[in-house]
Amino acid sequence: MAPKQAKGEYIETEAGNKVSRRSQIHGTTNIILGGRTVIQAEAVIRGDLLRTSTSTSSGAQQSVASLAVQTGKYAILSPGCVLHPPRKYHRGTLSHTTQKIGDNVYIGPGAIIEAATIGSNVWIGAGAVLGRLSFIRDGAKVLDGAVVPGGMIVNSGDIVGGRPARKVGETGWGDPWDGREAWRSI
Amino acid sequence: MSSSKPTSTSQQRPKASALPKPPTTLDPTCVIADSAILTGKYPISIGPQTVLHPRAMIISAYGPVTIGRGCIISEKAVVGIAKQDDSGTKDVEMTTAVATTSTPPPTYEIHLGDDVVLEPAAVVEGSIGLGSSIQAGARIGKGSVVGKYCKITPLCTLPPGDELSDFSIIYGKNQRRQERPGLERLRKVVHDKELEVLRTLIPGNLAKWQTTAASGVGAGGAS
Repeated sequence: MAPKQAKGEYIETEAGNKVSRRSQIHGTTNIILGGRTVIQAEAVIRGDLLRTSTSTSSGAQQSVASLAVQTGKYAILSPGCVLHPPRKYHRGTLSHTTQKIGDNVYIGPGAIIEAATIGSNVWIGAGAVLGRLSFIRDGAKVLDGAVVPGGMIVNSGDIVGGRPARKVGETGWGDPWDGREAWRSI
Repeated sequence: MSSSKPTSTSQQRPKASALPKPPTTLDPTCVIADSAILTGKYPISIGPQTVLHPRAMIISAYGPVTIGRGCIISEKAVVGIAKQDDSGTKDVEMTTAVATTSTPPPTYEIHLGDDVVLEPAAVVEGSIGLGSSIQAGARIGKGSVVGKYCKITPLCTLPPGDELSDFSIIYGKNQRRQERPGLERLRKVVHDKELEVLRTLIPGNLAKWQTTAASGVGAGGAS
């Protein structure tokens, strides 16, 4: 931040991620961006909500313990969206799980994401709320202002909307949304 | 990223820097994240074991704010009234020189009971009872009162001045129903675990907001 010169809004990393200077990212060390990801202004990413692995028996899980949010390629996080890794209560221990977001995903302005997994080619509309530990499978679409309840599984290619979200149609596989152009235009 | 803090406060929340730091009574065991914001001119008191996530905001511009024991206030959640009304008189009232008007603006006291959970982007301008949870993007209107163990599901609203009885749920398109009591004890177990986990995850910065240390401790002990 030392040199005083006109800067663009976005910081571009080697992998092509464009991160707005006005984004609010916490716990950067626990976030993996898959490359060519765009994080726009005022987007909040809670990388500090880590898995608190208290179970000593599961040695395999120790390796992924330090990851809170993971995105794929061409994930577009619009202004004001919130990525909040979900908490889960299992066998008397409470822990946060890693939030995984696939490739070519659009997350609309003001959306609040507490989903566990979002697949690839997913469109999430403005102001949608994805409840705790919900699953959005590949190619699904969540309409603007939808409230996906906690634990809901949105199947591949479904369109869901409303409060609470219900299936209202299917996307079909013809013309998936392309994140590349959005990435280029920013 | 450390660079996000100064720019965003100037961009998104000009009010925060414009308003004075409020007098606070903070319990030493509460956790206030570094980038949480407390602002206003009336006193703010926060009870023991309460956790404020980063970017949580508490505004006491129009009345004192009291937050009980073991509350969780998530990011982008707002407790307090940001502006009195939409008529553009906000800026006049925000400044301390309000002596021009004959009647002072009405104050709204905001009280959050124990174990209240505010999820991301919830807005609370009223009072909340013990163990209620206000979920993502929900809105509690000015001066309204929410009872004990209520649940406001995401994006629902409670209009200003309304009252919600104990064990109520607002869901869907602001429909209401009653829940049978009986699950409070189980919820409390999970809630306490969550508080415990959050305390380890979120680095607190109490010193930033602690004002009037001597009187604050005294008031905290008395209450």
